[in-house]
Amino acid sequence: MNQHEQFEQFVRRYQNMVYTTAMRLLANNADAQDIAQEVFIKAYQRFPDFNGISNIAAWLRRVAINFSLNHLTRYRNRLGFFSELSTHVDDNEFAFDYPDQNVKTVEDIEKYKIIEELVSKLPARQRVPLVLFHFEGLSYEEIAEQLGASLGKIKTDIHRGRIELQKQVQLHFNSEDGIKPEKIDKEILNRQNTKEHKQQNGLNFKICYEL
Amino acid sequence: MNYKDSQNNDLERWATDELGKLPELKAPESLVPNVMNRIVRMEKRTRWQRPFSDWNIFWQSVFVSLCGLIIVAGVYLSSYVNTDLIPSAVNFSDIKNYSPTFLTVLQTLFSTLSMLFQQFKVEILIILGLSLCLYLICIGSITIGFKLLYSKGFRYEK
Repeated sequence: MNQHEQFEQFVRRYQNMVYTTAMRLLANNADAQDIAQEVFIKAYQRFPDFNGISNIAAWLRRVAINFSLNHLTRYRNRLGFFSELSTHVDDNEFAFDYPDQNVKTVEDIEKYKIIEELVSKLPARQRVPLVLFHFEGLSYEEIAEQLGASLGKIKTDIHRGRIELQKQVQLHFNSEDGIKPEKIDKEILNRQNTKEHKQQNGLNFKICYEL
Repeated sequence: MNYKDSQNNDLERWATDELGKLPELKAPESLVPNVMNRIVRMEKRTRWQRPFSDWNIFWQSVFVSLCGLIIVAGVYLSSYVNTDLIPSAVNFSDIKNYSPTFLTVLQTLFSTLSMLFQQFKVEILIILGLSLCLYLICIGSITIGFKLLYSKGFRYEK
């Protein structure tokens, strides 16, 4: 097996992990694909040295986080200026899919998709620290350092993000019956997809976190 | 623990439970072919089209050594420069009467540069060459140094 084939296997093995990290941080399918490609190109350049890295998955995850945060910072102005042209929602409708072996029932898939959608609809200033804490396992201190913000601010943003998420989840799920089969309530989606919300997504990250 | 702390803990536990259940997303089918196509395109580029940091350590060493040789040659050749050609300081007293228009300033600047270049052609080329080589040696040495440290287990993390 030559190096290309070995690397292709390597990409297939880690593609879901890298894509998931980027997708949850960026909340945009096209951007997440771009970042995942960049991460694997970087990995290819280091591929011969990978014997020296004890935990490749952690290294990839770290690179994906750094690239995603850089992307949010680099394109924050463009996000603001061109938010009206954003195809954010349409793109993401096809972004939340799961590998067959990870999901047991159709109900599970629907439930997970709704929660992923709701997380992606949070403003970036809440979503990013929330994802870093709950999905990437970073501590408050690490997130504060990574985003260049105070510890208090990070805790507040994560707390607000959780409250908002809980509120949205409660709107969609009946706590007694478990899953509510309908898709996300159109009214809430429409409210969240207004021009103001989209502008907030990019610009609030800019104002809050000067990376 | 007061009521508010307890509420916060409940909220954190709820979020951890709900979000912890979510499995990894499925990457788009096009990701692997896109990555492999980009790698093939990258590898098709000739050596001088790639960034210096992507060259292998052998070619980086050859390049830096070559620059070092050029510097040595430059220093050796500089002993042959005719020092009689170096003029005394330029007298700008005549220029005071000129009206300081933009064109006059530009003309003076370019004529001075042209005069300097004609008189010190070799010296200027040597200085530019030496500066470029020193710059490349610095960049090359840092890259090689990092590669060697990296191969010995050194990791740079922000």
